[in-house]
Amino acid sequence: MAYVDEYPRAAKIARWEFGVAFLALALGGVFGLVQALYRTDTFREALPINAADYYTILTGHGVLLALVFTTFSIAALFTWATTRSLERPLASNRLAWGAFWLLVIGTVLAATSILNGFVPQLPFESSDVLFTFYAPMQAHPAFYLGAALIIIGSWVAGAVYFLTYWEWRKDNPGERIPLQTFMVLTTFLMWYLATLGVAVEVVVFLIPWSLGLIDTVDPLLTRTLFWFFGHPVVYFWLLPAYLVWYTVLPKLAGGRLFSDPLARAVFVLFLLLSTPVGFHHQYVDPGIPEGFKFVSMTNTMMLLLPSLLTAFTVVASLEHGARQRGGGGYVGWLRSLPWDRPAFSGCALAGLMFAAGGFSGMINAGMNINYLIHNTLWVPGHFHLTVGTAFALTIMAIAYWLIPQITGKRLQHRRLAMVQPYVWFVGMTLMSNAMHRAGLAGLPRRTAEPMFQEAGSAPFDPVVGTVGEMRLQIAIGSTLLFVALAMFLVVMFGTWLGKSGAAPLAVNGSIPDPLSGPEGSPRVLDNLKVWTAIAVVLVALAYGLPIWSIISDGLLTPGSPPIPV
Amino acid sequence: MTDDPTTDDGDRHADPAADSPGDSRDGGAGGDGVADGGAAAGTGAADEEGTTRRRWILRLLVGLGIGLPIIIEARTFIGLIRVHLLGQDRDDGGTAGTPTPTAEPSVGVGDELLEGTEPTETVREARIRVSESGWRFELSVAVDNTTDVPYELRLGDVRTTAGEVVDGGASTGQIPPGESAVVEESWPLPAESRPETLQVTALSYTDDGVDLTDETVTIGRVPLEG
Repeated sequence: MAYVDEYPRAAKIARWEFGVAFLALALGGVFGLVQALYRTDTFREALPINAADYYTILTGHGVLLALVFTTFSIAALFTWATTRSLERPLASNRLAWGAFWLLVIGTVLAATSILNGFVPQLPFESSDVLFTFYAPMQAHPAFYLGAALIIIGSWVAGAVYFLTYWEWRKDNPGERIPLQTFMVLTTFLMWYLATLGVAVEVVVFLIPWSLGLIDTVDPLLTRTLFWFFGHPVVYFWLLPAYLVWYTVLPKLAGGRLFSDPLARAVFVLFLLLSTPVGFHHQYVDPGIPEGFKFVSMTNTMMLLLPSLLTAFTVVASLEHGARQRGGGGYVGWLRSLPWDRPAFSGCALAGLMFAAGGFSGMINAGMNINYLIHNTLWVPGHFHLTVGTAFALTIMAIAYWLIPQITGKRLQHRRLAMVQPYVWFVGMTLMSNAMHRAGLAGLPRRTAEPMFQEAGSAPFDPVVGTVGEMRLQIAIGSTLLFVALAMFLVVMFGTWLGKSGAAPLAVNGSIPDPLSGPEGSPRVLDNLKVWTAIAVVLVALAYGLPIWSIISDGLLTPGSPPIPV
Repeated sequence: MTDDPTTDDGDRHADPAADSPGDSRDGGAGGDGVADGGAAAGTGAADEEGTTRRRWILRLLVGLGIGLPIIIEARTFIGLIRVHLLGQDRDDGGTAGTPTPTAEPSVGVGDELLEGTEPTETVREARIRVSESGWRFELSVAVDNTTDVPYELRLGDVRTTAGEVVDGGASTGQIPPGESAVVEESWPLPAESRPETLQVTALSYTDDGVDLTDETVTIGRVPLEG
């Protein structure tokens, strides 16, 4: 029996959530292409924007993809994972729909205020404050309200998973939490903790400031509160991808998860370490003691441990699958993996690219070497590997497997789907490689006019290739990415329009047991209260004194009036 | 391209039973991925042809998809090793796109205005003051006369990025040996334009007469204020 038949109500919620996510992906993808072509001066005259519009595009690209696409996709994936692994429907469909509509209203408010930059006839006013919407740049109150509703909507969605789990627990006292639900719950515990920062920033400071109720805000405080959330949000994107890599990818490879306890340990480590690291985004900010930046750096480096554990476990699971399929040799088994299946190849390529993103992230996290690439194109080069591929490509890949299950329709345009992950992978390699190299040469990010050729401007000093070559490579890469996105949307659209029940579904959501199950592992791994308490203490240690120091001269001082955008 | 079982990927199995736990070669321990991911079992000629075509496409995809990134990253890596470890010249001869623009050496805050003279002339402040009355380029230079003869620095005309020449004329006056002075000057600029070059004259008053150094200095990026 397909998932849609077993849990029709949850499947309907997941369908709508995926639907909105893919709409945001489409619009954000168009913005991404326009932005890349404008910035690289490719067909610039033919583009319908000017330098001022570039920031509207940039904001729309970031918010629609990093906030909207991600949150809706995660909600859909977690709805499926929770109900499937607990083998019961959601505890409250009404609450789940409430979360969905909160997310939708928030998205409409934020997106409308951003699009006002193009179409002044739309309500509200332009809000070109970029995805990192901290002061002193000021947006219209509707933007902040929208952002707040998206966060609150995600909280409510998380509450539904917890309610469902508690109902399951009443019926199953003493049992180990099913792995997928364990991953959902730890991800949301981390998310609840991390979003406290942005909630305070938006509700206490930015909304009153944008409404004129207070004249100034302290930019350092709001930046700190933003980055309190701004780094763990990366793990809010990545942990759902991990859920797929740990629990579905081994099955797609023809094998089984290597170790359930190791997967649980990894998610516990992310719960503990994701939040007390935000200062590594603020290495050049004055007003934060260097010692706390150092603590943040060490915490960030410790996050490599669960990432490397993941690399080991997932690769071991894939190897097991390949050997089950008849593969052999030290590396020859790789040929036995189902590279023709986009659900598999997309997830595998996403994982491969995430490894590269992890290495460039180590440069970002290093206190001294960060100065080399701070605010350069290196940074977007890095996060296009993480959220732009590790997350986005995983979601696209798993959609090929999951959408038939939640719609009851066979996947359409399968050859297109087979090619799509490879096109994305090559496009991202081209774009991200050039961005990293450009960052090493000092090319700035977040600017429409990087001043390559003005007299007296600092010359850029590329190590490999030329600035012109990098720009061309970025333009080609972004175009390939857009083509891959269009291919994905054609497959999804075709599948959605397909006839339900026209043919028997060929996939099922059953997931084989791990090679090493949870039975022999310490039960404390499942004690979420303990891990949450430790996470709170670590956050208090990392942030308590610096925030006290920042607010000791007053909550709003030294204040900054809004900078119009 | 729809519903061709030979090109199926995500939902290949028409028979759900084939996708159930226990079909795995893993001793029936519950792995269902083998059946889920196995090669298409077409028996007819059409199936065989389709399988061959799909294999060919797959080889191409994997070859390009994995090969291209390896080439790109290897080239980058070798370039980094070549420049940073082996100390060889940078690759400035790219074949695609525009070449790397190379700007002339320019001066900014903290730099010495005339490197060829013995006294130091350090740029203390440089800004473009933006106001309703227009844009003004403001410059302040500290001169430290480390020689044993009187020295004078004069700031002259500024040429803007728009090609316009704006008159200027400020001087430290004669600075006695071992002493310092500051010279400040401002130039009105056409809106949206930036200072590109500055005419600078240095005079050393020796017993034999006046040694004159006249240079056109390229101005670096100057921030806007106001």
